Amino acid sequence: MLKKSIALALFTTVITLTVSFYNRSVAQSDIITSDTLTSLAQEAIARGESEVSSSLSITFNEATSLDAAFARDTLIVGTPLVKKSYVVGNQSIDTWYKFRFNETLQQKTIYASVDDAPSDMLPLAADEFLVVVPGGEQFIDGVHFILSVAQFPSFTINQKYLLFLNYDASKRVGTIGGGPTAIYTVVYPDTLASIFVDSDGMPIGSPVSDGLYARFGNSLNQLRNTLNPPPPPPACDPDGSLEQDCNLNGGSWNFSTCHCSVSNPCSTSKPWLCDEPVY
Amino acid sequence: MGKIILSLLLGLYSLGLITYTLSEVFLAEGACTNCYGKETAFAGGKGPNGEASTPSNRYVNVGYDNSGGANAFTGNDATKIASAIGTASNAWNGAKGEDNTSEVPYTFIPSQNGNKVNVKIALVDKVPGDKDGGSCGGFLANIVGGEIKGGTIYILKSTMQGQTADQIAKIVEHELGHFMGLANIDLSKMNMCESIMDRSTGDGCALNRSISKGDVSTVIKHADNNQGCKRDRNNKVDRVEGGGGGYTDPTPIWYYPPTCYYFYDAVDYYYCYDGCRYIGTVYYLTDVFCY
Repeated sequence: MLKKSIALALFTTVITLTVSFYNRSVAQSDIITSDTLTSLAQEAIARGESEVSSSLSITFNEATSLDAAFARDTLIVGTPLVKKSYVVGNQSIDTWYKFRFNETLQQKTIYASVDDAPSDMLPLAADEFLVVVPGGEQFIDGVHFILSVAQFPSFTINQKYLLFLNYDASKRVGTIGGGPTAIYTVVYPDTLASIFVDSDGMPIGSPVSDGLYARFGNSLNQLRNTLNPPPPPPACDPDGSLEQDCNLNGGSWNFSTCHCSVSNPCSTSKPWLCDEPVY
Repeated sequence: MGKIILSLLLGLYSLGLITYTLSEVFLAEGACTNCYGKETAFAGGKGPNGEASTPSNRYVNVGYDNSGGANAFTGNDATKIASAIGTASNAWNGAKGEDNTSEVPYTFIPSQNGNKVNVKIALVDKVPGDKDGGSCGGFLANIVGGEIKGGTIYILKSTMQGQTADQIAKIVEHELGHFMGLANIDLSKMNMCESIMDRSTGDGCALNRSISKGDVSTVIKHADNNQGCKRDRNNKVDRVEGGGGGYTDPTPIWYYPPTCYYFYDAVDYYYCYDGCRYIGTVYYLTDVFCY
């Protein structure tokens, strides 16, 4: 009897343990949860690491031709001054850059809504605007998290850029829908150089960069003159000689009336000039 | 004797040229597909029965988020994504390279075993990092010490609702291409050759591309120490910092050809007899400056 009891106890124990392990293994293995930056940071901590690298591969909303980019994008020449990265929804990191306006070549309305600026990037001076790009660095649970975006390098502070932006003028915030094909460094004095390069630093062609080269010889000046051509010379002064004479005589040339206005020194504000005795 | 050696050398040269030309013709398809360099390919996960991967057969377990959380697939979406994973896995597992025999060194296995899964698929409202709605999907690679350790595929909720399981499978195939080290086809090369990494020419997110022999060959190239892969997945976020102001050359040029300036003295010569007559001008080189 005792032997039967022991056998029964052993049998039930084995059955119970088997069912228990089976249920536990089912509970542990049948659930898949998406990674978050926090979970990746925790995994790094478990591995004894203090740094995590991730890379996003996404498809940018690139313009299919230079004319399509002109029709859609706001073109601004600007210089990044400061940057700051933020965790977004525990799945991504964004980096916000504060830019100084150098010039606006053309302005278009936004084609996709843009985020509100982080409060600590505000207020903006009159000659400043913001650009937000994916990727960046942040510390998450003490782990240094680096999120890069394939083929999309960060901006260099104090470098001048031409940007093809989805730009919200009311917020003064822009996004770079075209990704790396929408960013060009302005190399002294006015040459545009694409940042879309391979690991050897060789440029990778794109419809926009190919168009800039073919039509403007990568010259910012030529691009500027095409988008905002200078006023044509007036018919009354085709060679500009009248205007030059006017300027030499201290006058102000009016293009629309073809008239030179020379300020009268004998004005009410300078009466002593009018009261000089005549000998 | 000299003529014989020269003839042999010329023959070898011609043979090399023919071989090169033929290889360019047959590898033209692969030239469209680019791969990420400076990284180590995924070494492989566990096989169906727990077996280890080998360099030529790397198991990749692909599963979808079924946690019930914000990024989980449920109901009809779960059925659809399960079907898409199966179709995409079979497509890559059966694809052949340019020699019609080679295959990718990965074996994709649909799996809902949370302890084994290497590539997770998450359902999202917006692909993380996509600021302007250009992406129908996305891939986040987990990189440890320069080695791909796994990743997450993002599928848009709107795409799940608007596309069939077979169309979703195309997106999964594309994102698995990123997992295996393939970069997007450049927009300037769109429609130039068949590749699952090319963009859609259809409406919305309907990807009407297929895995090509060039795609398979490029995956093999990437797995084989990614020799010749020149795209950059892992841009250093702080690649260059100015900070000090002033001009920074953003694209270093290895060699600037010198520009030379030549300075001449011009001397006019006259013949004078009963008046002077101009004969001509002789130019003497006095200085050359090259920068």
